[in-house]
Amino acid sequence: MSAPLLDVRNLSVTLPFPSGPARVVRDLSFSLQAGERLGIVGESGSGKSMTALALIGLLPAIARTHGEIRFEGRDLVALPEPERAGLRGARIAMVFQEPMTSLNPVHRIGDQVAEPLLIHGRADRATARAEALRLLDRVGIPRARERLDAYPHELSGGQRQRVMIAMALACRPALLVADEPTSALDVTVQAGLIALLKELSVELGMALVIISHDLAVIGAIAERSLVMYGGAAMEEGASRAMFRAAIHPYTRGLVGASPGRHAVRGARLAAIPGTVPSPDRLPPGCPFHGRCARGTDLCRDMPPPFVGGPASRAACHHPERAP
Amino acid sequence: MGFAWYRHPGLVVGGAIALALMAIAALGFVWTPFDPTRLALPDRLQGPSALHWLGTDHLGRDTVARLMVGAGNSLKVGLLSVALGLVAGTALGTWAASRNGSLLDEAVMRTNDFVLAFPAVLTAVMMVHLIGPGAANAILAIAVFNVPVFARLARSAALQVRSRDFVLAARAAGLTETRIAIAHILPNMAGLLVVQATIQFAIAILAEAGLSYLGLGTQPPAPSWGRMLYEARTYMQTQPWLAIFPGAAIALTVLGFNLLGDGLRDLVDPRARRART
Amino acid sequence: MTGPLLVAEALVRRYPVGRGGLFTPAARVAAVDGVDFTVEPGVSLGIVGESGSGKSTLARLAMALERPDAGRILFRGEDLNALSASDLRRRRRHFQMVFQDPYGSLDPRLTVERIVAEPLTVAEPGFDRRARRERVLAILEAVGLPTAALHRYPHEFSGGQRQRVAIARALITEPALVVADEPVSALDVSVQAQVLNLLMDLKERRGLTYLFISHDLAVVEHVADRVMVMLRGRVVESGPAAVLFARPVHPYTRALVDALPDFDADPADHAAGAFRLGEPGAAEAGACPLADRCPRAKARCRAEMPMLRALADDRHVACFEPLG
Repeated sequence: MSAPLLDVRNLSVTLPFPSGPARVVRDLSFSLQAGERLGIVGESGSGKSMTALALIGLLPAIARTHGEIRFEGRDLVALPEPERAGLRGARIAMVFQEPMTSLNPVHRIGDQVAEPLLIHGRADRATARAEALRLLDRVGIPRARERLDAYPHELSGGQRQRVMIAMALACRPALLVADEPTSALDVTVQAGLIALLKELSVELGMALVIISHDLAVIGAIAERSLVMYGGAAMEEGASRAMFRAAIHPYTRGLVGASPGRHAVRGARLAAIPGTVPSPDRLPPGCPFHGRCARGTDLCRDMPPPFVGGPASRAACHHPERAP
Repeated sequence: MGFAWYRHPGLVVGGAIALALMAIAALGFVWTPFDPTRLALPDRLQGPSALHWLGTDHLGRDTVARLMVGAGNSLKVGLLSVALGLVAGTALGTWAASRNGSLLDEAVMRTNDFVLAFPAVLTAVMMVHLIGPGAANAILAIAVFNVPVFARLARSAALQVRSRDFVLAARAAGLTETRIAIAHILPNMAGLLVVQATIQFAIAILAEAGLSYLGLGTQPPAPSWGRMLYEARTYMQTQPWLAIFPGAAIALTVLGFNLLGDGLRDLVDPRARRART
Repeated sequence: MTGPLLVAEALVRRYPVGRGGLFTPAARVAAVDGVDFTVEPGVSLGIVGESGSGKSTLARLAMALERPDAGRILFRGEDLNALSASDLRRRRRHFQMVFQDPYGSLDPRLTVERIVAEPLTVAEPGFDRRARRERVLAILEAVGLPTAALHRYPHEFSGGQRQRVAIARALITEPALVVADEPVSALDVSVQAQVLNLLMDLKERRGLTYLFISHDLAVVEHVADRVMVMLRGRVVESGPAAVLFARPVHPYTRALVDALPDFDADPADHAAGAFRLGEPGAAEAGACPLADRCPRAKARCRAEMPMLRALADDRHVACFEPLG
């Protein structure tokens, strides 16, 4: 196997909390080959969005980062900010959840899509505009030529998110990080955007990290998934196989709690008891301890190692099945 | 999270000034070093000394005593005019908000705009000219320009609170509109109103000083900061402290209440709060 | 009690768009455009729709929190909007509401005890403090909250617990009907399941009937006995939940069903077979609201509005080109 495009090793992110600093990302390791699509699944407080921000280098200034994020052979954590800024939008791009606030309301969408090309010195004004038109057309904006001069508020939510994707693609990044890209949209609009992201990843050989709370979204797009809880990796494996027969009790719980297509009407869902704890109130061991039916004192005191083979890995002292 | 005073220096300094002022005014009601109205022409126009700490005026009255009693007058006018404006303005604004978009709402807001288009002190001067000078009328005049300020604020705050689901939930539970206003809307906008009241208080003190300076506010011989400034103007070249002390008292008071208001705003403003947590 | 619990007759609700000019009234768009439904006691009705479908407006109309521009809403045979204000307030104890946002629907300045007891103060003003507290404690227990919650404030609770407080508040007057507008969509998946289970338990234990509104078909499927699918203020399909989900006939319902997670199907098969709609555009007057997005749309769909018509097995559909 060639060297991975992205190799995250023992990444931890610490933020200040009222009770003192707490880790919102705990000792996270994963890697991604060029062109691969990885899903990161988690609920609120799982650390999935902080992981995304760490990848693109947009963590809040008060955050402390430890570990390594090796991208194309360079460690992003150690990289000085000017060089990181040079990568951002060029080699690594990001799509955010809220398409309304991520676009600048006072600029025309053609100019916004062309902007990354101008910033990174990839094109002159005329070429950038022609490229913006091509990109808008590619992401499925109807009558793209007329829409170049439209303002964000003139587009629907789904179209705005397509514009965001066009912007992200402008410099042909090797890695696209998409944080809940469809969560603000209606499900019938979601489906088209998920298909688009998948197509683009294949067509451009672009690696994709897609972050979502929604198993349906992840399952539809990512061949491999990483489940996070309380800042730590719980389980990693081929998406479908993992959702069907999870190793980790949390993954099982998440799948059981999702009302799916083949649910029995009126039947109770397999709810996970308790609530998602705040990062500063987690036990030293497994973050899922306290809500887990299989939890023991060992789980509370000792973080389980993230182990397994190339197909699947999990961090659990008492797994549901052998990895 | 505990209150960390060092994060709110303005609030602490402003609060200290306001408290000190109120303590001085309260003391002025029961004790002053001299009778603030007693004439003593032989002692006139003295500089600061061990006997008269801040000197005496052109009629030999003790400046410390007059400043102390003047503080009480200023606070009284400020407090009453802001209280009147607050009550009337909040009632008007909340009422307009409950009929948002109606002709009544429109009428209230346009009248507000009209009153606000005049400078505050000018409004007060015109009012006092109409109804005659005196402390009571000054209170009324200052209250008049406080009403639209509070009405506008209360209306926008009430509209914002009314859009929250808990108001709809209260209506779904069968509460009357009056009870919803008292139990849910007013408590949720109280913070904003208190902040504004503090800032209006500073403006009212300034307006009272202005009116008294023009002879339209507190009437002689009752001491007032504005009046003291007026009387000091003849002696600006020779006995400047006569103007400096009441001037400093006014400036310090206005500064103190503005700092307090800004500090409270930071505490109350949900955006500022969210940014901290 | 015989007869239906709640009946909606040709409900229309229009909202102004923009402000209009000085002499011209603002243009108005119908958020709810001729909706009929009947809720029988014990038969919970689910309303599914995406943003702009008018489902939340329908919830407020059903609760008589807004007046319809046309049509009637009848609770136990009484036209709610024909009642006097005080009569309407007295009836409210029989139909209560749970809102979507557990952060916005509880007054942050009140304790849980006051929040939960509030509807009771209207319904039974004579209650003394001690008896009222007993009632609050009983209902808190029923929704799975500890006694200690009584004197705490909303911000001290997680989203799921707040929604339990909101449910307790809705149930304290022992209503017959509970209108729930997206009650779990603001919650994390693991917590959403707890609240859904609670709603189903309460339905059985207390004989509640829900008017359950959500954008999420899977959530509605769990709670509702009958389902109504809305698109741009109109009903496009309705019927018993079991049939409607198993064999949707309206292309819009089919697209909603196909968007649900399906961990058992082969991913490639599922993706290829999924029914997909285009991006929504501007609605054209006098056309099917789905005409610009539907792969099955024919000329007629763009020229004429399909009316709701009855099918076999108690279903209705508004489509010229139904599936299956």
